[in-house]
Amino acid sequence: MDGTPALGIALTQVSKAFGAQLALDHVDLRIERGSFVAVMGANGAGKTTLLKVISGLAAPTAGSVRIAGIEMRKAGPKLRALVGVVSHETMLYADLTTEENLRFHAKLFGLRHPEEAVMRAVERLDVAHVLDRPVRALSRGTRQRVALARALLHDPAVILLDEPYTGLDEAAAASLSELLEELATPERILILTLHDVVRALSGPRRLVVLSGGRIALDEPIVGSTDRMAEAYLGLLRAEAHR
Amino acid sequence: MSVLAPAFTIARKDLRLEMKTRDVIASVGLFVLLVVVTASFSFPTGGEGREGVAAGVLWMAFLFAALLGMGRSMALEKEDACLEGLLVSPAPREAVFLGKLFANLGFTFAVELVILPVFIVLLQLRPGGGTWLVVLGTFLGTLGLVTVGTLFAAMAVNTRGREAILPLLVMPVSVPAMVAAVKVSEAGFSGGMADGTLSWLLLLVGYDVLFLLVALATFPYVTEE
Repeated sequence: MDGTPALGIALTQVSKAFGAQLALDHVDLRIERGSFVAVMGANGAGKTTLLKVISGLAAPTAGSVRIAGIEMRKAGPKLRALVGVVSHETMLYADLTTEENLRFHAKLFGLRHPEEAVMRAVERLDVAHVLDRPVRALSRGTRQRVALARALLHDPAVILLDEPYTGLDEAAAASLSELLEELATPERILILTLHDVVRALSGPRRLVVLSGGRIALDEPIVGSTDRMAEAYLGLLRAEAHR
Repeated sequence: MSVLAPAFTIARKDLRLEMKTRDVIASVGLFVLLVVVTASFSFPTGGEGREGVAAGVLWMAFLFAALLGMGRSMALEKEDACLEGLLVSPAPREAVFLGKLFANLGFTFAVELVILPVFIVLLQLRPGGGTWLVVLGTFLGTLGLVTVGTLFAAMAVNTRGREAILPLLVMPVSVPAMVAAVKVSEAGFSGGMADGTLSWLLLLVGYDVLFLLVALATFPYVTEE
């Protein structure tokens, strides 16, 4: 994991437009090391775009994205090595086995000992028993665990999860929540997008709500969460009536 | 991180996938074989200019083979957001392009390696001392075609009608390479260098270098949202 003490994410006046559609609108956001942030909002609010801009998959139309004080636009490959991304799609090749997928990504990340990294990741995610099985043959929950193993291969300092609970049954979702708690160490930054307000307020320590590409709410999650849940649902209702 | 190491990693992964599924080689190989066999039945057995017609038929087959293969290869990356998996890695974007290019070249050369001798035998061509020219023309023409195709396949992969869009993008741009490759192959089938063959070869080399540089420079923007 990166030992830079100044590790943090800073978005300054970030906008992202797709044609005439403004997905992010002058977003200012500071996320310090050790943060566990839930990003919520209605469909099309800009959650996925926010993660794509932080991961370097999308370039902001305006503004700057900095990780550990370094501009993403100027040092993309170096910064991408600090980030692990999990999407609701697995980013895994369905016809390759779990081991082939993980070994491929370990090499792509330039890890010195890819085999060891793969073994560490599969043991951590409890997927060692499916190493020789094609990803196509795995259940949705197991695939998601393998996808997480892929994202954790290089022990990233920043973990971005885009709707990781999508398609998981209750047992798999509970297991994922436990894992996220374990990953949320003071050295890391975890940012996840999700729709379930109960889950968003039960694990993460900070809630950011996006509405129309702007930050509508940004508060630490402390004490009773009823007020925050009500505030979030109020925002959704207001947006639905707009 | 270097560019070549991740590029070879990506190409090896594509090769491994192909060994398992045989999607590209099987569909493309069968298609090209069908074209070549069909052409052999309607082809005149004697007369002037048959080498030129043969070269034209051959490159039509190679063009469609390359288009089919490249479209399929990039479509595989679209499934389960695998392309995003490549792009969030620290591998430079240029390495991702080169990896896909190496893999596409590998598939296309593999098909050509089988088809070219079959084509020569079925059409009763006698390149003799011009064989090296046929091989060189095939190499340079394929390199240009696949370079352009790999770039455009990445552009087309996010569009709705990507199977239709890819040929529309590739065909006009590949005309100079196709014409030059046909001319070089024609000279090869005729037994050796003819007037103007060197110019066509130089055009092919120039085309390959130019589009390789253009593709390397533009691929990062093509894949960025």
